[in-house]
Amino acid sequence: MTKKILIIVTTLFFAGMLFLTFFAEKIHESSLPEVTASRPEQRLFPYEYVDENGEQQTGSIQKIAVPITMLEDGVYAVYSAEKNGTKRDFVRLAPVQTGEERDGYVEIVSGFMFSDRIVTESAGELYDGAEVRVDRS
Amino acid sequence: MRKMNAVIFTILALIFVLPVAATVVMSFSSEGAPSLQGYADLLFDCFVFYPMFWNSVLYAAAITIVQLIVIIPCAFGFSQAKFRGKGALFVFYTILMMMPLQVTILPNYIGLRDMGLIDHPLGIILPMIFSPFGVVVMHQYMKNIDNSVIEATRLETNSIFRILFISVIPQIRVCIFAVVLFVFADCWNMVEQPMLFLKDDSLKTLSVFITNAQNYTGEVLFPAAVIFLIPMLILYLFFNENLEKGLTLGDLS
Amino acid sequence: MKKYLKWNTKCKLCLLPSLLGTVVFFVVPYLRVLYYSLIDNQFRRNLVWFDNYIKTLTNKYFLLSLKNSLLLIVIAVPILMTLALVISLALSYGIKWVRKTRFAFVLPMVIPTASIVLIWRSVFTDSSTALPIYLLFIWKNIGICIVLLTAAFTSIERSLFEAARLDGANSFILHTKITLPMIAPTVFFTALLSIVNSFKIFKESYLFYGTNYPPDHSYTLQYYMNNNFLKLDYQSLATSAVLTSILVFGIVMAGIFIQRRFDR
Repeated sequence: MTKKILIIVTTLFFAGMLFLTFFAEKIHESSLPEVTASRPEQRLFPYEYVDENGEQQTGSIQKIAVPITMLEDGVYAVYSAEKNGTKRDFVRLAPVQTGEERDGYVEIVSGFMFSDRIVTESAGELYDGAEVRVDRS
Repeated sequence: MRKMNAVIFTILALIFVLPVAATVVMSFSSEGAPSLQGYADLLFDCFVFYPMFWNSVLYAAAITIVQLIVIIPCAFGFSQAKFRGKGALFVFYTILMMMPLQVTILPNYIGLRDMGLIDHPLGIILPMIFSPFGVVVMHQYMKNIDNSVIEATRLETNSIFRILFISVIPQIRVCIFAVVLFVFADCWNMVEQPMLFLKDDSLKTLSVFITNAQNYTGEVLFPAAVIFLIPMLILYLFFNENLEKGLTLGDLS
Repeated sequence: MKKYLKWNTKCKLCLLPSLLGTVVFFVVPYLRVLYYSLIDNQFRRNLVWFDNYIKTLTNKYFLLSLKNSLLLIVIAVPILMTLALVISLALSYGIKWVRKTRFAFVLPMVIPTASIVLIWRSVFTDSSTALPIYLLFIWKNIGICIVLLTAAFTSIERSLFEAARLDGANSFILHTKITLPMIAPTVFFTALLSIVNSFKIFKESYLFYGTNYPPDHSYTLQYYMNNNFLKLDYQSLATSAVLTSILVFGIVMAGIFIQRRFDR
């Protein structure tokens, strides 16, 4: 009788490991918050300068900007890192310094670069260092 | 007297089982409290674990099975064939079996490198197939088998395969189980060979994973150790009944 | 007659795969190592014969590792054997129990090294002596020693004891004249097995300390060889490998010699 139990246990164990080998990654991914991320927008901001004649003029300059609403939750940037041997995506809370506001957007003086990917939508709670699933569509 | 015996036995049995039990208990605790966090970290967050697990299983299984095919005829040949130097050859095998791993593994590396088998599973599998342990043990056991059965089978057929299958293997069943257990254990435990002979992480074995566990985040050490010992435990339980008879090996001469 | 010869040849052929593999994967590499131990440099390849051996035999790290390896054999194995013998003697009266607990006894040997070392590390945090390694060695091996020895004890036929007792022999004579010779082969085999395992304990030691340079008291021959390999110092590696193999060869030969003499 013990032999039968043993055979059942062995099959269960290996079947379980086999199952996990194929599906563990997917299971893990489904538990991660899904985010959409893209390059930060560039908006026109007024800019004052002195022209050749010494007169004050206002022009426009493109600066990195994010919607003001984003500042409440915090601006998150996506980065890739290796964890436990595989490459994953994480977010970090970017320490942004803001400048002017205009048209519902606020200028970003520092905190991240144009080449970073900024989270625009997220399906779940984010925190600094959280692992995420990036929607690549 | 009987009571004292029982006490001694229980104490000893406990001593032997305690570290194993402790390992299992530790795997279910995280930060001092019982939790499955370790297993969650390992199974759902540490994906290099899986290829390493299956590598351990496949290497050990492959080595064990092929070893049987090599060893049984060899031990049989030792017991049946007559030629000068047979005794010396067997002593040579015995000495080879006793050699510490480092003496043979390091020349092995050079040989494998020349064959281009570094960073290839065969570089692990092939040398282990020819480990002399199985030959020595099985030959010792074969000395005690009934020759008359072999003689009788020889009257009917001259094919070695049939003789082996029909008359020899059934008699040495116990020994085969014992050898399978210890050979599998040896391969399962392999740490130096994967570390030295394999470069690609996805080819390495679970034993290497546990050795390098400080590279991994999360409490994966103890759960990995538990999962690592489960197949061995299963194998051991499986052969437990047959094992005892195979242990009275007698002397070496 | 012809059939007999054919049979013998067939049996000899049976040995072939194993022999072939052994030659390719053990003999040839060993001969290469022998060659490496006799040359001065991997590039220039001048034969310097025994210069390397002199260098190694006077190297303080080699001597340290040799001392530690020998200490392990000379201290741990006798302790193991004495403990095993004493326990086996005490237990040989309770045969029923042996079979029930055999599972637990051989368990330490079968449990994979890496799993056990973790718990050992948590318990034995003090690495000022080699005690953890010695204890691990004893823990691993004593189970199977006890199993082998109790099997030997119980296989001595009771009738012999009865006959001797009737002849008027007292307990001491009983044990020396009957018990000892009959269990001698098994004791011998167990001792040899333990010595071989004392070399194998390197794996446990390596996993326990987790480094290539353990404390001085645990630095054994295998560490020395391993480090030379990693440093690509093939000459020191080769010489120490050859010397170690000579050591093991000596031990085995001494063992066989003692056994032959004891058999009389």
